[in-house]
Amino acid sequence: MRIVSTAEITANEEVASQIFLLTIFEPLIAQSAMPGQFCMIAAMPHGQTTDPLLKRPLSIHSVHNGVLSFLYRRIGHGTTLLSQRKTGECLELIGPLGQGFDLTNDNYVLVGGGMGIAPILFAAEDLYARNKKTVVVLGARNAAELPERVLRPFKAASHALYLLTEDGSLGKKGLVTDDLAEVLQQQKTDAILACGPLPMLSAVNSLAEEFGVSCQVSLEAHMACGIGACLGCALKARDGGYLHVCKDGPVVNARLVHWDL
Amino acid sequence: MSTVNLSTKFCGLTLKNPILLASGTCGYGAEIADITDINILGGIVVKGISIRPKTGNPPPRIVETPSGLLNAIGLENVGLEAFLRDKLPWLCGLRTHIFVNILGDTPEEYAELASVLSEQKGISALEVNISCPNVKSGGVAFGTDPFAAAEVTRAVKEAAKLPVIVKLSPNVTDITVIARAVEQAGADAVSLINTLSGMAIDIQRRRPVLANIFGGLSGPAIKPVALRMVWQTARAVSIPVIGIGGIVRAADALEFLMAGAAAVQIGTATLINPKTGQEIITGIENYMKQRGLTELSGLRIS
Repeated sequence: MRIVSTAEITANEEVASQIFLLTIFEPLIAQSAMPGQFCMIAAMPHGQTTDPLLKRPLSIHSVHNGVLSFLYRRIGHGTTLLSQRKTGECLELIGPLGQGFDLTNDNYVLVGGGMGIAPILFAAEDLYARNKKTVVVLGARNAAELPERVLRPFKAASHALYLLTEDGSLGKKGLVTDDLAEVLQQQKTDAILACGPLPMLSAVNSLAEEFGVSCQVSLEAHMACGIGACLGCALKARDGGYLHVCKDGPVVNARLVHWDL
Repeated sequence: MSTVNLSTKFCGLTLKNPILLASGTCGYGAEIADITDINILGGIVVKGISIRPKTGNPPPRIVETPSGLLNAIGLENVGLEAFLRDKLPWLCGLRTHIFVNILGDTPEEYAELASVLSEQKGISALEVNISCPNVKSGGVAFGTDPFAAAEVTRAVKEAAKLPVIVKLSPNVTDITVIARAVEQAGADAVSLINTLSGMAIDIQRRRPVLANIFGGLSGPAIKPVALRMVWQTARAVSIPVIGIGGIVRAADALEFLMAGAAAVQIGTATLINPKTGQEIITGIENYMKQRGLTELSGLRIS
């Protein structure tokens, strides 16, 4: 059930340079949210400004006791204003939105790159709590983007955690996909769940095809409404036409995407 | 306290209030029906329908600009057949007026759509889109030339048994020239404005943001332009004018009603807050109560 809500911010902290962890008390959305789904979040209170005009789509990072958490990078006008919002203030949001991950298999490898780690935690926590094999591979530019604060819940919700950074300052040096082939050789895998930049998702999909493993990817697109009304968030589909990230996704089977980027 | 009557009449229709949802911002209704009550609105104008389905433009299709939204969706729609089969039966269950926006590449296509849709139950009126700035043929090509606009209007009027509203483009030198042309060609009403043609450039990548390069600008940024055009048009034609452009709150809608609009459409604001229509209805009612106004016609200024 999608809910239009005004809810209280319980925390909005910079956990790494330019990366914020926002938590909101919204039990109704929290209760029905599935891993992989997202919310549209307004940076400013209702009616206060028309710039920014649109809400921002943020993947749900985690859900605990009625509190939704979101991990986001301060990157533009909207996220800059959002990062200035304080604990105790209210913000408007709509959620939970879109299609989440299919979590009905037994053995999973979860791959997150950059801010793509956000929805991966929610999926890992769900799988781990249900005793499904949960192997997590995370990638970032450098160690500063994966502080202990961010990593701790991943450690607590995975049977194996592989870390890679582009500069080698944490874990192995390289991209998440550098380790994935090895992981897939070592770990019995039914399905891969991935979120990150499109080139990363394309590479993950290629490996999934090579290993004959099912692969679901969480996609990103410019989005105006997030509720299936504007048709703005189009992404080329393999069989012609377009996928709409907000309603066909954000999580789709990787086979449906036209990967010729 | 006097009772406020928000009902409005145009094209032989009585609407319970003057608030409609604009085409392209509410899908086919069902997309938003779980998060907002469509039945409390005066009506909804569903996504533009063409004879054949359209896949739309390549992404990126949208970008936010200061107080505005640039879009180049490219009239993506399910096509007439799927609309009649999958969308219209659900729409017929609503207790509000259904307006169907139509678009074509030739006057004949517009006429065919008008003819087929006129045979259907549950549709209150047609809105003829001659103003989409995001497609090469049809669309705005008809909307910027008074002769072509009149030709399409005549073709639709001959084929239609429903009231015909022609949606006008603001991307013209004098919108009243087009408005008068479609009025003379038989239009029962005009709605305006569609989006203003615009663009944005990504200075990091040094290329236009939208794959289509140009897009249509909507949202609060265009409201003063829209209001001016509604004011002018309401004084240039004797058919009803439906005001559209950047309405996000009751005060905006009131401005359009004062300028002479018989009704207004909420577009971009619904994308941001699906309950905008509802909030605006309440806001207008409160405004009128406070001033002892009982009829919408009392809002209009000369």
